[in-house]
Amino acid sequence: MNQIINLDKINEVRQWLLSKKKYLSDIPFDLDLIENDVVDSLSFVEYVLVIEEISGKEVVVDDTVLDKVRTLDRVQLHYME
Amino acid sequence: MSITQTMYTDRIARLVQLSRERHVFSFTRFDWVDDISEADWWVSPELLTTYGTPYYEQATEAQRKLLSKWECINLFSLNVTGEQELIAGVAELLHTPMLKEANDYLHHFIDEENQHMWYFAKFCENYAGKIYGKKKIQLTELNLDPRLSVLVRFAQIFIFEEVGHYYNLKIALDDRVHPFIREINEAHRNDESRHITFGRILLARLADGIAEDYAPEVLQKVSNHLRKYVQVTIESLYNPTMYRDAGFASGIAVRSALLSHPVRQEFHARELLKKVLALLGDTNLIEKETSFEPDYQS
Repeated sequence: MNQIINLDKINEVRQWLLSKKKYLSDIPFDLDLIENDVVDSLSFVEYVLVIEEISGKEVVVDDTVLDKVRTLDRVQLHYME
Repeated sequence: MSITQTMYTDRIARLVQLSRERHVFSFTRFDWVDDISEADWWVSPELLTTYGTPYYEQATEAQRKLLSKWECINLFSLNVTGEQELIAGVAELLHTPMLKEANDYLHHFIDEENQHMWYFAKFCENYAGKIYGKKKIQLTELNLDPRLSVLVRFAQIFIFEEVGHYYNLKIALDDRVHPFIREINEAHRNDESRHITFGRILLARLADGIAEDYAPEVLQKVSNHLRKYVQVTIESLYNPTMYRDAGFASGIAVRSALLSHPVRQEFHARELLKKVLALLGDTNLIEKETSFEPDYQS
């Protein structure tokens, strides 16, 4: 049975990123946000805090966190489903 | 500001002596109370992150006190996670030639920070049932030489400790705050005042001459990094989870509004960061500017 995936929450994260990076017109779900400097050391904290508020789940910042939040696809998989 | 080698070693020897004379065993020193009421002040009302804004003015005293509980837990959690990071960073520098004269003191430093971390964590677990986790991460390597790497590490420690010390001092002296919380702040203040003195001495000694020893672009990189570190440190005081725990619907909205509020920015620049930025400017680790205005935008 196919699971219905709700993208409302991840779209909220995307909208927040777009509001911070006004030079971007869109952020593809598979874009590496760190490699492409959409998220840097300074904005990382807030990015994580926004994911937490929207998902209602804690983002534990450990050695594995970068792989879980590097793209919107991965944020969806790890925190929004 | 510069200090001679003799002044450096003498002052560190004095700090070692003080750490030994004033050594306490934190694991047994406190009489832990069973409970702290949410009707108590956990931090001074003037230290709340909402102070000076409509969020403070429009809140009842009960709401302010509840927020003071979660702000206290946030401050103590920042101590837990910050000291964990600090201990790991300082331990790496033990027995290195550059810090030879400071080695004995670094052992006391780690010992004292370990005890602080223990009691702050126990406090959070006992009275709030949780510790707020750290959220910051370093995404890029600075690629500095050993001297600048050590300087940056201790500058970060200095920033973290000076900001924490500001709160410890105020809360320890405020008789409106629950006595056990004052006692914890006082205990921390006692040790931290030596750590801050050490940080000042070490930075002044190691940074002596960096303006001549390094290219402007290298020092610019250090300055940019430390300014970001200061900003992340300030922003960590505005934890959205803390606002949600205190009853606000959106912690992010409150944080954004407060961080961009002129009264809060004024407090950061003129009060909280005054000493930190003065020392980092004097030692050429941060480019001197007439003011520090975080570039936070909601």
